[in-house]
Amino acid sequence: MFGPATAQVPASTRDDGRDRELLGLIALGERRALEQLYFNYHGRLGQFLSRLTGRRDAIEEAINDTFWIVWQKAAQFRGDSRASTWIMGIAWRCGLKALRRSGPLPPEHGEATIDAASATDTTLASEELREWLDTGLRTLPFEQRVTMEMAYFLGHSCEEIAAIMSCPVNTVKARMFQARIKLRNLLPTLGGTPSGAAKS
Amino acid sequence: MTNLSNSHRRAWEIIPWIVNGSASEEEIRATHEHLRQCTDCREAMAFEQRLHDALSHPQANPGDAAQGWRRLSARLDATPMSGHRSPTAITEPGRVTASGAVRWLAAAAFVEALALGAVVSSSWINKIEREPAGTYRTLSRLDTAARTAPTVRVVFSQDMTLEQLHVLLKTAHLQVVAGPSEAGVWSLAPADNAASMATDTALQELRGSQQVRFAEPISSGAVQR
Repeated sequence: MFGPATAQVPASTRDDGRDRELLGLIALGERRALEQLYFNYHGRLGQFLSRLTGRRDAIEEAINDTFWIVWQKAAQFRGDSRASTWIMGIAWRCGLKALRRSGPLPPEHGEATIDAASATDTTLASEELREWLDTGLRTLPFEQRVTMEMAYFLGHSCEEIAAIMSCPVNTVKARMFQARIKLRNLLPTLGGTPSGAAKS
Repeated sequence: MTNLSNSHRRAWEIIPWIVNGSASEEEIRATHEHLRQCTDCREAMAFEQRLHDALSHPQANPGDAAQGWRRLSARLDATPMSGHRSPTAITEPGRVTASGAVRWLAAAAFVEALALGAVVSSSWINKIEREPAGTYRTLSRLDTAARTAPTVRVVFSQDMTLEQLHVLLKTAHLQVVAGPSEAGVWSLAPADNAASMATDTALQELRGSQQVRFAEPISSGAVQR
């Protein structure tokens, strides 16, 4: 059952029930429950935190800080949100701390330029597409990039993202709106439309 | 025109939440109705769907979870615990469990079963020093150990509910400090404010419960896992 988890689907209701049970046991000091939760979340947290910093050591530190807090604070989880929302909220704050400690952004961060020639290649492999997309995402402001990642990789709702990032729902909507506009203009072939087709 | 404009703006806003599966039925219905008459929004939907598909794949290298866990485990071993509550608090309204029907012992057994297949470190069998729930305080390790030294070993019946456990531990002035072992044995210690309560009295309470299959005192100095 244990092993490196590469969780890639949004937490379902079933997963939430499992996570809540694990949190209940962690609140009682059950180390094995923490271990299970750790492996369940490691992959998705690593992916999420990689949007905050490109330093692998900082990501690992933030993951462990997250679960350190989960271990200490599980009893404070009130069950009024999905367990994953509560955990991601902690990860978000730990990620921000890691960001402050490790310096601003990934080493490869910079003003990205989209290669129009490669963008029009209809045979782009998925890995290439992801790299291309990563470049596009790096052009977004920090909060917009994280919002996009929370919505599309982690599958959180608008309200959940607001809870995780401790901001109003309308702020999440605005960040998502701006991120989509920019990405549509940067990555036009993803939508099969000519550059500049996106409307603002 | 205004209605179309409003529905266009609304659809544009809702599209990402439809794509990621978090939109409501009503939002989905209204948006699809708009999509039938709006080419721009159909294109936007297609774009967001492709974006979502591309982003929903995890990166190839999420890091070494086993190595990360070993580090965290070592950190936990090296640090006295705080913040955990005794099981007497686990049935507070609105806390932790999804519903009152969730059974703590069943969940513990579930986790135990998962652990059997583990190939990761065996650090989980190490003794865990526990502190009652509360704020951070400075305590010596000796004091902590003395306050949480188990005095009773107990096996609960499989059908014991969380509520029953809550009542029983409260009545006997006990708290869980370890367990379950592979044999399903839990180690209990006097609750924080009941250190002076005789073990014999607590045992009587435990043995009087139909949900307790076994309850025996632990001799002082016994090694507890």
